[in-house]
Amino acid sequence: MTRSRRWPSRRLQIAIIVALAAGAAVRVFLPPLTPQERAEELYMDSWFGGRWHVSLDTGPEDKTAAVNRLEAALKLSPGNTLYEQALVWHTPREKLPALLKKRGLGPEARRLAAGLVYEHHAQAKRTIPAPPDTEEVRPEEPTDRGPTDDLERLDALAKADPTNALVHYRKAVVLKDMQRPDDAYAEMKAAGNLRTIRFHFPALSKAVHDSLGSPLFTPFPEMARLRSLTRSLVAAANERLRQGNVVEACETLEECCQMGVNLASSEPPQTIAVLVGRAVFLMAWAELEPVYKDFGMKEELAVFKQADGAFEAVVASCRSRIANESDSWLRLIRTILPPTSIAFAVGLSAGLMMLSTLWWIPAGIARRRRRESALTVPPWSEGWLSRRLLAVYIPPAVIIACLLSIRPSSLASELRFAMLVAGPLAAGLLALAQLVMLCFIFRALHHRYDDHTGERTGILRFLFKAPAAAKAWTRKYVIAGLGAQMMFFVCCFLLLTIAYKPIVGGHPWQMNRFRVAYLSTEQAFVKQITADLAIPDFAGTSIPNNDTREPANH
Amino acid sequence: MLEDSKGKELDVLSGSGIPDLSDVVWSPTEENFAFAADVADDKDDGRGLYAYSIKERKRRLIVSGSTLAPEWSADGRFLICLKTSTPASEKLRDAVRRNHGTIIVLHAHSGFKPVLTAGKLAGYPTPSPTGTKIAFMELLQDEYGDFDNHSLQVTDIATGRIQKLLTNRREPLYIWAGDNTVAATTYDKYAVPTLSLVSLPDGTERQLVTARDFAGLEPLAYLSEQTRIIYKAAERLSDIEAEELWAVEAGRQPLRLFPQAGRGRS
Repeated sequence: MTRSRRWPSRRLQIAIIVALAAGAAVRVFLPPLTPQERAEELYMDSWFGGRWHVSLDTGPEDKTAAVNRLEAALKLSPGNTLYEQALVWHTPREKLPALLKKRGLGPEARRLAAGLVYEHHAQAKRTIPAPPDTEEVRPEEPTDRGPTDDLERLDALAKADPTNALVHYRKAVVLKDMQRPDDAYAEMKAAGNLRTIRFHFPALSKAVHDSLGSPLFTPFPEMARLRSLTRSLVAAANERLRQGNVVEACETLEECCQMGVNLASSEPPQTIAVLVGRAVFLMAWAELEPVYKDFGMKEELAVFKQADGAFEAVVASCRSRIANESDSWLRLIRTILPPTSIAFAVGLSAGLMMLSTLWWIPAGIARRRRRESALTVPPWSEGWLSRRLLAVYIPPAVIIACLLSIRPSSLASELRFAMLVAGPLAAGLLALAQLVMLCFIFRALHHRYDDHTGERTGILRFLFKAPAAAKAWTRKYVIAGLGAQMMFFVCCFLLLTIAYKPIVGGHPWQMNRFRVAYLSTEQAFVKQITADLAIPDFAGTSIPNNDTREPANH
Repeated sequence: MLEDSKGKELDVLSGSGIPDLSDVVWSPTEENFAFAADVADDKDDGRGLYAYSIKERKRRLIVSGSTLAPEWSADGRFLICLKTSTPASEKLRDAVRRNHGTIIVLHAHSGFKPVLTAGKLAGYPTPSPTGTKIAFMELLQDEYGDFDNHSLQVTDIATGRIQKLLTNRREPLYIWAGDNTVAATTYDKYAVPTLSLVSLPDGTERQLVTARDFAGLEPLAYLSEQTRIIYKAAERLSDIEAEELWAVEAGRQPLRLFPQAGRGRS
């Protein structure tokens, strides 16, 4: 076989690899230029990172709807409200007013923008922005606004968006700081009546996830705020109780307990929400339980004791789940996966390219110069090794590609977990394939050595007592074989990197599919254990008449 | 690292050799100190309360199992701790189970031999000033079957006799006011706190302060020369900004300390 007949030629191979690497580098390292593409990219990452606007785990009964919503989220058309929310979420907060003016966003996106703008100003400058669809929404210079001004602005915000519970929570915080517990309680009740804390919940879950060391979320002070608010309301209830107003005290405390239950039962269900909800519940329950017992309110006591017991069981389950060894392992994977996968991808690409350059190209040049050598036959030029290599490597590569492309929402919960386990199994298969390839190479070398010497030698003799020339051939063939494997792996990897987004969506190196698979199993788990947390609304409480005794003071 | 008062190194207890070291308490005589740890190379499971002798330069396991709140009596004769091995129960919250147990009193001068055990769901053991009695809180079942009744009890180390002083739905706060009196804050069903003195021989209760304006009255210290109780009055639950320091003695009006100071600085 002459060198000119070989196909693909080395130049072509190098050109293909360089082109693939360049494409991957452009795909990965150069961010999209337009804001829309940037928003899409960030939205995809954030969606998989936990800031979901679509719940994946909706149960079997409405799986079709969930899949449809998932599809809608993935399409990201400009008219899509999810897309608009993503755009709002990822636009710098100070540019949100400009975005609202420039684009005709839907009501949900406007509501989200209002909350975010308020968050931004409340945290950074302690001023309260006006509704986003008015002129006053643009960022303002820091001023010495008092709580009264804050209240006025919050009133305007509540008027513009009466369904936003977040505004009521904010008002309650401001009123609490103004030492007006009654009004704070009324605002809390108004927020509770909206029966939604969706705008509050993502921030909370992020904060607590962050406090637990998860890399999925960023710091946020919402949890501390809600706890502070609960503490304040419990203190207000305690004050009312000391004044003899048992009804109002109970209502406040029940509302706080309900808030904890709401948090724990929020969608999407997460362990962290259970823990935060438990903390909020306990704060109020510690005050409420003695009142129920002292005033003989057995019915209410039984209901809330059931919730307390359910919470206890839930927390115990969470604790055992966290302590479980395999789950610890999964959490470890989840923790190290994103940085490791990126470092692995960069390191592998660079390292393999360098190895190829160092081992493969100089070896080829040397062979070309010493073409008189009878034993320097590149393994890939004869066809046998190429065929075996393809036979060994294509199945695991296909398995991995399938695993990466399957959408977890289309699978049952058990399968999602199985998918997570299948990843390491595929890696194990690849390692096994490496060993098999080495066996093939040694077998071929053995035969070639026998052909060269004209007599049959045992494999052990060949391996351990081979002459120096045979060792040199072995080394050369092993290097060449490994080089061929690595090149194949690099090609698969680069192809996958380029083709991932058009086929699957999302960022390939973050392996979001696996994270989603894990989080989905967690959701199913929490949903199952929070099923008992339902507390019925009391139509009215049978609390005895208020005490009329004179207070005894200092 | 252990050093004497001149800075001379006596011994080094490595963290790796004594994992989970916690609750280190020095004896008043400075001959021993106690600590809780989980030492794997010991017998049993290794978790327990250890005493380290400065003279012998070695530690010994004195109570095996999970222990809490070790405390020395004022004369250094007794070491008191809680052993928490309460089994799981539906009526007991996990947090309660972890923080309550049996009180064990060990005699430091006779090889830390146990001389007294008291209570089943006891907590917060506090030795009296002379170290002859121990006040503690025992959880009792209420009319609903829950362990939510807090009973303040006192046990005599010499005789082992236990005396119930008072029982409250909400957890009382208490300190010793002399060797035969306990100052304790209880709450009525409207959560109004009352600071009282309870005399030990007959268990008579004498109210000092009842304050509807305050959410809590926490006794902090007893001044024996002036027979005064210093207490902290909190206007709102868990609100440091609304706390004030007051002093009261039997038969007199309470007196706010540092009245010129602003709120939260008292």
